[in-house]
Amino acid sequence: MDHPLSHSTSQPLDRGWTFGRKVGSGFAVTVGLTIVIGLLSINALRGVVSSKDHVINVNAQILIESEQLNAAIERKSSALRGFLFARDEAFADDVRAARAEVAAAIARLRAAVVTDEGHRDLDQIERVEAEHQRVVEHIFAMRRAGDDTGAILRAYQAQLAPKRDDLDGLVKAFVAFERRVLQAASQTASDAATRSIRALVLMTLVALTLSIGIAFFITRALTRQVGASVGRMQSSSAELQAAATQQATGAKEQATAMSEITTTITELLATSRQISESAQRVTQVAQQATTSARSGDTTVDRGNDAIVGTRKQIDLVVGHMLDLGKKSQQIGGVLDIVSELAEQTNILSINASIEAVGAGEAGKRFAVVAEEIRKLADRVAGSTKEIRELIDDVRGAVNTTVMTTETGSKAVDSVGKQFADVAASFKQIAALVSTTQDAAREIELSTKQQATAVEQVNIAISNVSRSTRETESSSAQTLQTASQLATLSRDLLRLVRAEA
Amino acid sequence: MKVADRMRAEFDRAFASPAVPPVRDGARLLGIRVGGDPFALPLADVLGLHVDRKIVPVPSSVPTLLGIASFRGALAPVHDLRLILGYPARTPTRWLVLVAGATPIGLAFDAFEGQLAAPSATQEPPPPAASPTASATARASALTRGLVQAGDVIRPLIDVAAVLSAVGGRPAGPPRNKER
Repeated sequence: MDHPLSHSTSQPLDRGWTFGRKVGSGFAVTVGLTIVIGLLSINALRGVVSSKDHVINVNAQILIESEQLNAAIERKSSALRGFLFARDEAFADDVRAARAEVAAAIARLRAAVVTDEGHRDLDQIERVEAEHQRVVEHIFAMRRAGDDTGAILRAYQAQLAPKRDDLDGLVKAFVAFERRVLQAASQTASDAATRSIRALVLMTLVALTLSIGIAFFITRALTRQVGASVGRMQSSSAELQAAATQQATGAKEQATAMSEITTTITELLATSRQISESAQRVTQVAQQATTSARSGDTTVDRGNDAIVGTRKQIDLVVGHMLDLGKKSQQIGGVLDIVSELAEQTNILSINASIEAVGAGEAGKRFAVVAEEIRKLADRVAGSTKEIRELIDDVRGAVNTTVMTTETGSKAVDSVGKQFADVAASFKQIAALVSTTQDAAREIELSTKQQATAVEQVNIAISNVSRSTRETESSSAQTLQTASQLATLSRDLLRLVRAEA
Repeated sequence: MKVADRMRAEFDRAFASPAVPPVRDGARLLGIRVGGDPFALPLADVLGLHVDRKIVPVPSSVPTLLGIASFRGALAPVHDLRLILGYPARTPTRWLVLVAGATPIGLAFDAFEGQLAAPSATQEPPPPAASPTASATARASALTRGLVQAGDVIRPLIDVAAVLSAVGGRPAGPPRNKER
């Protein structure tokens, strides 16, 4: 069965952009726009501030310096009038100080003024002030000389007043010019500020529009993405539900199988123990068999010695029997002679009795003797016949005995060889029994290890059985969770898509 | 050893028992074997019993004549009793008896079985021939004169006179050139 989540995880999201990346990108664009706007604002503000500072520091300072020039000129006039009035040299010093102030003010203004027109005005002021000074020096000389007050007043009125008026007019014109310059600079700064404000407003509008667009696109993409994912999640959760159902069934079957396996393993354990006990008994029997085989080996050796002795005895018996056969043959030869003698005796007795019949009465007693002799001969013949039969029997018996003994000897030889084979077999048996003993010991050990292993397997199977039961319960939980997940994915889909 | 003891005791007893006179009321016979069959020969007709006697063969037209032998300085013809009685003669014989006739004649046979004492000779005719040796038995029955029982064996009693006539009724002997 395919895993329900496998295809959904393997399938990449739209264009490979993750949720966080998209949101982050949107935020990054917005933040970038904000930073751009901020930088532009700072730049505009700095331009406005610098233009305003320029207005304040330069143009306003020029105005202040102009006022100070004006004041210095006034102080010079006042000190002049004081000298004229009191002819005190202190006032002359004041005039000189005032004039130094005027020069200093003009020098500062020259440093501050940037326009050509301003510089021309300052040159003109400086020139007129120098003329005024010459007039002032002339009047001072007149006063020090003690000239007539009227003449001095006239000279004052005629020479100094116009210069003073020219100077005031120049200074006023300069101040008015600089005031215009100040106004123009102020107006320029205000215009720059207004432009900056407009630019900022425009940038803000652009950023707002972009942010709205990005937000719209992100929302749309995310809605589509999340909707698709949630849809897949819904189908996956349905598959997961089915899989969990199958898993629960399988776990139940597995639990049943595990209990059967446990029963079988228990039986196997009992069998293993029985095998171990049997192997132990086999080892004991093999030990006894080894001992018996060793004693059997000794017995076989003794039997072999006995067979060698028997072989010698049989050879002796055969020799004696052959001697007996020869003696019987000799007896037979003697018996032949006896038999022939008896036969001859018989013939003689018969012929004697025939002759006795022929001799008539005189031969009767001889006939009796002949008859007796014949009887004796008959008996001897009969006895000889019996003896011959007996001798034949003896010879037959001897022959049979010799043959039997030779057969026995061969049998003993064969038995000897077989005994050697038996001895070799005994040694082999002893070795094999020893091997069997070792093997039985190994079997015993292996079976004990097997029994231990089977016990461990039994424990493991019990654990597995418990795990299976736990798996069964967890499968039920998984099923429940899958159902909840299905419900949750439906809710989530409803959240993402209103029509869902 | 028991047999030997028995034989020794029998032998000793034979010497210890008193002498018994010969039987008078019965004929004395010689038990012989011809062609494997037992026969009896009256001792009264016998002149002597001999064994391993040298027989010199002579040419003769008589098929039963084996040759001639010397008996106490006298020559006598020796006939094969087996051929006379109709038996085949396959092996040489050791034994012969000298029977009394016009002239003594030797009869050679296979084996001598001993001297017999038959109480009486029966005159019953011999049994009809029914064996493979029917011709021999028929011929032998013509040359016997009844049966005698000695011990467990019944023997035909050879008629010596008939035998002699059967041998002697023939010409005494053909000339040598005719024989050749």
